[in-house]
Amino acid sequence: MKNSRPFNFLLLKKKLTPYLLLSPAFLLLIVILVYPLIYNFYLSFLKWRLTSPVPSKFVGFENYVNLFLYDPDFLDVSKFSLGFTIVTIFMEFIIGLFSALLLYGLVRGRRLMTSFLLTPYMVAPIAVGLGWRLMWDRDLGLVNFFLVFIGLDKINWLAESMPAFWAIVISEVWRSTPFVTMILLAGLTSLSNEIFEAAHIDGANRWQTFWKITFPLILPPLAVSLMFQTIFKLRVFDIPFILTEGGPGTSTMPYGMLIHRTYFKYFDVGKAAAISVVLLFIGIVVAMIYVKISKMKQTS
Amino acid sequence: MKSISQNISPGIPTNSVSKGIVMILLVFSLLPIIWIILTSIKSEQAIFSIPPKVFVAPDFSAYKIFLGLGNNSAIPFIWNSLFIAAMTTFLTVIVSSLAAYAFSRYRFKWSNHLLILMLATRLLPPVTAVVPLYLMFRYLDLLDTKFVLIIIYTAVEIPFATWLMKAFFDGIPRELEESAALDGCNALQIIYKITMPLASPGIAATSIFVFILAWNEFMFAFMFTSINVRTIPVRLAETIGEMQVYWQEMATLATVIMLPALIIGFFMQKYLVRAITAGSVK
Repeated sequence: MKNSRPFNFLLLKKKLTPYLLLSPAFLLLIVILVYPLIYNFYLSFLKWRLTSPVPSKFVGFENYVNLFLYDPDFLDVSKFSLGFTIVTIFMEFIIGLFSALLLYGLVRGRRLMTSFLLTPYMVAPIAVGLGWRLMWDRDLGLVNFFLVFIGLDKINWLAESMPAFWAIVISEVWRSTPFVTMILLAGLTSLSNEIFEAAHIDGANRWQTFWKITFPLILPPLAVSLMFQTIFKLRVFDIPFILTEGGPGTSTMPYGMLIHRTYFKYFDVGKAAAISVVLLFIGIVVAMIYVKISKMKQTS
Repeated sequence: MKSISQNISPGIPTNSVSKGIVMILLVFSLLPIIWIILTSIKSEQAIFSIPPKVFVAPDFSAYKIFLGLGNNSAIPFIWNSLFIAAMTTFLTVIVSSLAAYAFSRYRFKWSNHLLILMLATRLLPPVTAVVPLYLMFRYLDLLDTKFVLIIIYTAVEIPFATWLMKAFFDGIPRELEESAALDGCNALQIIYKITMPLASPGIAATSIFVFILAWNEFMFAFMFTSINVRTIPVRLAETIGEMQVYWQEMATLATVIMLPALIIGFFMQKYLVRAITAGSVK
């Protein structure tokens, strides 16, 4: 009995233990995420239609060439994704920063307010998407009711490409700005008060304090939150799906929906895989750029 | 004292104007949600009335249809969602707590690299794995089962849950474990008898957030299941595809879907910010 004590103590210290503890998690990640992504590369080099009796064939980069040169849908989807990402990120940055500063300024009730403002981010996108569909509805929607109330014409928000774009942008900004706000608020509260005191004593006004001190200090969390949001924008699915199903045409279709359509409607495995690889590549590039930026700001 | 702390705020006025703006933000944030709930208890007549009515005699007929036992009952879908979310939570918490413990307590070769690698998988768009996963699960004949969603959700949520729990483990003093080790406990005993009970608030919070994420998920459920297993978000999306739009019924389903997050958001204020920003703030 006495002998077991030092033995067990050694067992705890054993080098293998952490790897054993990690193995279930990494096993799952490898089987469900990493392996499929690698398999995806292989699939993207195949000409393979599930409905066609012709067996799959290795065609090299043909799927990619077709995608970039001859595919109007892919071009549409890329345009939408680019515009959507830039506009939403910009709006989220402005509104998020603004509301984080406002919340920080609240002396009382900050936590209560915060949790209320976070609600859009917590509830299911598919459900709030439906709520927004109701808001944008041509005849019943509150938005058109308001437009008529102030003397403007009704807009058929979800049936025309430009209004549909903005409807999706605003719904998405509404949903994910709280994420940006939260990260910035966490960044703000982690700053020490002394630095602002010093600025105050040195006679800096509010504007100067903000641009010369606060803003540079919250740049790293800002960059991180925007990186996360850029990456989340690339995978957006639920809100466009429930608002417009990508329409009219393919004018509001995100990459995820194009992958879905190519695979589940046209059964084109190779092309769907190629789109996935392109999307993955964009995601990795975005992540790397932002990591670089946030590191640069931290060291300078 | 108060006025001093206001003067040294990081460059934003803290007066009644800003409080007013916060209130506007609040209304803007909650309006679509409140509007769904209101629509779910309006009769068809009240929904179509112009100008829109805010206060109406509540009409719970849609709830009776969906939460009753008739043909249009949503109970089977709610059950699917509950079962899948609960199993996902169970699996994710077990697997992630072990991983989080390893990251929190051990310094081993590549520990930092593995942690970053794990977080990096969280950044990948899951939709890019849809095609190979579909082929894989079709080959295994597992499509349209609860299992397929449980296993996918678990894998997708492991990085998030691990990161969150690591932070909770980091807050537990090592000395307690060291003395347990001296008393003869092995690694697993220490985890399950000493650390887990101490970390239980953190584990509870993580479980709840994992549950919500699984409950909310739509895309994988939409693509990987069809007849046998449909979750409640998929059911909601289906009702939109049908010819006529039944706002009251759809709003009712949407309210049911939102309910867990609304309740939890209210009771879990303390952990909310930590969970949402997990992995993005050091």
